[in-house]
Amino acid sequence: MTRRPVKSKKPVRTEAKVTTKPLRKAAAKATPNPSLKRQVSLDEMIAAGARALDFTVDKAWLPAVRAHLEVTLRLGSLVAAFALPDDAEPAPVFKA
Amino acid sequence: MNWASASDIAQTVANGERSAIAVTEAALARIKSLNRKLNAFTDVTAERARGKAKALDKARSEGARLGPLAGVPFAVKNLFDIEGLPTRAGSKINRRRKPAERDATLIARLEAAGAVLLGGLNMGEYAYDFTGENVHDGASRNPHDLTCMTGGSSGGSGGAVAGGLVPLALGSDTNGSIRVPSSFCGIFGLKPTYGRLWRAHTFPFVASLDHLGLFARTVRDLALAYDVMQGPDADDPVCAERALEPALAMLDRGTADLRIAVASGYFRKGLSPEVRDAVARVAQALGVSREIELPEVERARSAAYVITATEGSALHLDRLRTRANDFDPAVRDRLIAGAIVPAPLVNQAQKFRRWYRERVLELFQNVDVIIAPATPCTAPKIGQQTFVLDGVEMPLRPNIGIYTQPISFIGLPVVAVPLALSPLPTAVQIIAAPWREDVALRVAHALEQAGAASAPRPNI
Repeated sequence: MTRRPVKSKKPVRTEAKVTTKPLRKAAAKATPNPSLKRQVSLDEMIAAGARALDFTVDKAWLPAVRAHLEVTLRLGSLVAAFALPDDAEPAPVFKA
Repeated sequence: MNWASASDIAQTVANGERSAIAVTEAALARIKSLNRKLNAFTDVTAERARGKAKALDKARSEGARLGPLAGVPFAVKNLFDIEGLPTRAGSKINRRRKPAERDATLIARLEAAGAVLLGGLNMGEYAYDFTGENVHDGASRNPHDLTCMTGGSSGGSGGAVAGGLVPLALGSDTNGSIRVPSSFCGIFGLKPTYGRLWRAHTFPFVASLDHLGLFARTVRDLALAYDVMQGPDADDPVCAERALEPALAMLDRGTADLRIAVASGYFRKGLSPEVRDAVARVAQALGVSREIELPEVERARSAAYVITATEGSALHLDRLRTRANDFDPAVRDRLIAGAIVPAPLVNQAQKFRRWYRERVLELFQNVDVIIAPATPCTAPKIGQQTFVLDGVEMPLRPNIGIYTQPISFIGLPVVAVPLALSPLPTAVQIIAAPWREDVALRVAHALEQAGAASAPRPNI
């Protein structure tokens, strides 16, 4: 069903990699603020994820990405909190 | 002719009252006249349509019996492959793909029944959208108020059918992308059971949740087109190996033998007064006072959200690496976030999905149809960022689908039935057990016959 798209010959890589350095500075200034700690934690998660998956996140995109990640993790936590037995099968089950 | 049903058009073409080419030219003229306002079509396949229509007229003149959709103009969300066009899926990136070498299977089936394809329709980028807005092609505009959203992501499909450009359009629904535009534009929409209709040769979004379906202005048209599209396809491993289960012949059976209940709890929270009234009107028209509560609905919606974010991100990961600046920023930022979500949450969501399915199927042992709202409100303004639910201001985009996501999450078939409220319509979901599209269509037809549900004609 899926065909791979035609890729650009010259990948756009003008954005700066997200780095954690300035964010750590911000964290150091505001350690008592739990919401800022949470923000820094998410920013570090985004930076680590971007490194692991080899994509870049422009700093200008960070607030929106952080907001979306926060919502998704919150909703994911709600699902994770639901007790299921160890042998619960996921919805898609492979059939050989 | 612009408000004629597909059934009526097919009948007049089949019996020679009107030629297929005349119907096609009238539809093309209306698109030319109105698409500047509605922005529903992104591609008009005029020459192809004329060729198909002339072939139908020739076949009829030679004594051939035409199909059940003879001469019926239709169009498709632009994530369906159309031979000769790049399948853009609402994106800037995809329009540099090489042109599709063949049509999507559902297009081929409709054309085999005599329908005439007029082109591709606007949609939210990569279907990650509930609004019908698109930064590359412009927003689809609601025929009932051009300043309002069509809903998405099948926004052009909603606008084209509600605006009388075509009587029939195809769309896709991962979390509500057929039912939301049906609601905002005031038309009938069918999201069949997961696995019922072929998805082959369409651009995917979330394989676990993607459905294809259709829009029309009458229930009979939905059933007519749905029937000709059924059947397994080797090109789509998710498509079920089921015998054809035609729905058209069942429409007039009424609802007397059906056990119907209104969804309570979660589905009663956050409704605007108009939508609350719409659900009450449908219940009253069906003589229903029984209520039923689905279990863990909020968690189901949350799990659908997680699966959507992560599977969608996985699909687009390479494009996020190489073409990030070419995405709609609102889509890109969600996709990036989805790529970072830990895998255990996704696994739990898929396990919960099976648990939830089993509990809901238990409910269907005692009920045949569940009624629920389709959207929390009528169509918001284009560009609107927030809305108020239960007195709380909420972000608009992710919350439009709060009532549709828990249903498509487990693939239940739904007919969205429109109510002609003023100034803007809304729709109610008629939800049936898996593989019982016929039951949902029967109820929708009964509501239409009773005058409780109808697709209002816009003044454009």
